[in-house]
Amino acid sequence: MTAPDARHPAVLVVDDEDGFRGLLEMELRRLGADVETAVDGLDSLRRISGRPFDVVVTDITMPGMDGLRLLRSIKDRWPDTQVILVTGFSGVETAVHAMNEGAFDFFLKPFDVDRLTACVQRAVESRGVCRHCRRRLS
Amino acid sequence: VQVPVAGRDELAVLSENFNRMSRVLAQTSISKDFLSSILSHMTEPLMVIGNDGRMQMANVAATRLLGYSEAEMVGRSAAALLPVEKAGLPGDDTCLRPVENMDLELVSRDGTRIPVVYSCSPLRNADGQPSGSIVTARDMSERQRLETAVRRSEKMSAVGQLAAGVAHEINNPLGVILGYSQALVRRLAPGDALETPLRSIEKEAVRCKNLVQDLLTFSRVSRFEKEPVELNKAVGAALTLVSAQARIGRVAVEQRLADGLPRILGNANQIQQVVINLATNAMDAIGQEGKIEIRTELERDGALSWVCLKVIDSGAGIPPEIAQRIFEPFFTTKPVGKGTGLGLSLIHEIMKKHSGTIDVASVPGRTEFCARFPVRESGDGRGPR
Repeated sequence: MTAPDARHPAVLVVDDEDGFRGLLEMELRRLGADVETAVDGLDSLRRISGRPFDVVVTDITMPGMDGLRLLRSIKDRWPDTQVILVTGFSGVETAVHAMNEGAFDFFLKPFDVDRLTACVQRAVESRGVCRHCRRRLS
Repeated sequence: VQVPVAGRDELAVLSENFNRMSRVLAQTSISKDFLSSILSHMTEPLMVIGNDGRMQMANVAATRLLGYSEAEMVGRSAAALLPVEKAGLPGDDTCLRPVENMDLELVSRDGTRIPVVYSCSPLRNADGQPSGSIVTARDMSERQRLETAVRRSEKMSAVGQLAAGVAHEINNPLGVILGYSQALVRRLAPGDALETPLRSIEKEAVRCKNLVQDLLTFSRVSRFEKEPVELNKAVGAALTLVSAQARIGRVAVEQRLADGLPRILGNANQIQQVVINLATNAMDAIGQEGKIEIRTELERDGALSWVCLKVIDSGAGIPPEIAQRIFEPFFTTKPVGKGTGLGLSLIHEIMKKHSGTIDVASVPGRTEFCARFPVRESGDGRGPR
């Protein structure tokens, strides 16, 4: 990852399926990311409140708080954090809805892991740009 | 004929008797004509079979149903047209018992089996002796066809619902399997012995992924955007994929695309899917060597017109008992792992959503699938001329 603060970006992986959590954790660590995992929406909000994350990769279908509600909460409180949504099954409407709510991208399971990690890298870079713009504006 | 009656003598009485007889005779022949006209014009097929098991009479509906002329029907053995042993007809031990509303199949002139609801009652002559049987047979083909269509579409919507229900559950574990196998392959040194097994895991997981996607198409076909589509363009795009596959074997792909076809209102991706599935099936039917012909043409039927896509192959053909099942989900004759039995049922579903039809006609050496898309004469459907 290129930008100085993007060499070890903080990424939170949220999924109730431990298989996916493990897979993404392994692949993102390989690329140098500082990865934490959470099992559902509330668990992830607790973690984000404790420390900032550059990117959150979250499943949509989860018990309790689902991925779309988590996306909304994150964008309300931490607008700079990029959110990538992943789902096992949903239609185009869900994808459009998610993008309108401010998601960085949307993946349908089963996805190509390389495409997802590349997307995380782009999200980290765009987060740097967002922060820079915000600083200039204020 | 009437003769004049003059006076009251014997001759006059005779004349009057003659006139009465003539009137009765005329009435009898009127009622005879009337009855025979009723029989011949009734919509239900009716036949009279004599004691010798031969046809004595058949009305117009019966000759039309079976495809014979009246002259060909009369004298023909009933056994050639229907299963005599079941039908309670002369020549059978149980004959002369009435049969009511039995499901039977008649055999038409071209050998087609026609499902009918069959009834038969014995005829007796003036002495009360059995003289034959009178038979009616209501054609049930159309009703059977509709029932099959309803059953098929119920089965398909069940597949769609099931797919939507389980897709999430299947895609999750599948994603993990696929992801880890891809991740592991990347970590291997070139020539590592584990590469083949890991690639196999990846390949088989991709196969499952495609199956789930096919299933999901069922539940998604109902919600798609329609736009004016040029059938020839969709065919061209799909054939780019198909031709590559055809070159591997010795299969010639011939195209005859009609010029100036009107556009159809539909979804280009799904129409391409129809072409690909039909062509893939044709290729599987052909095997090593043969020919696939892909045609597009305009068909007119009165005020209606259709843009047709025909895929014709030189394969072994589809036996009739299989032909009636090929659009059912999960019906396949391909070996395990080769086909999911979803290709043609998917086509059926796509055609239904396009208000079109899909038909098959097959004889050994020539199988023709014909997909018809309706043309809307006004609005967006109108294409360039």
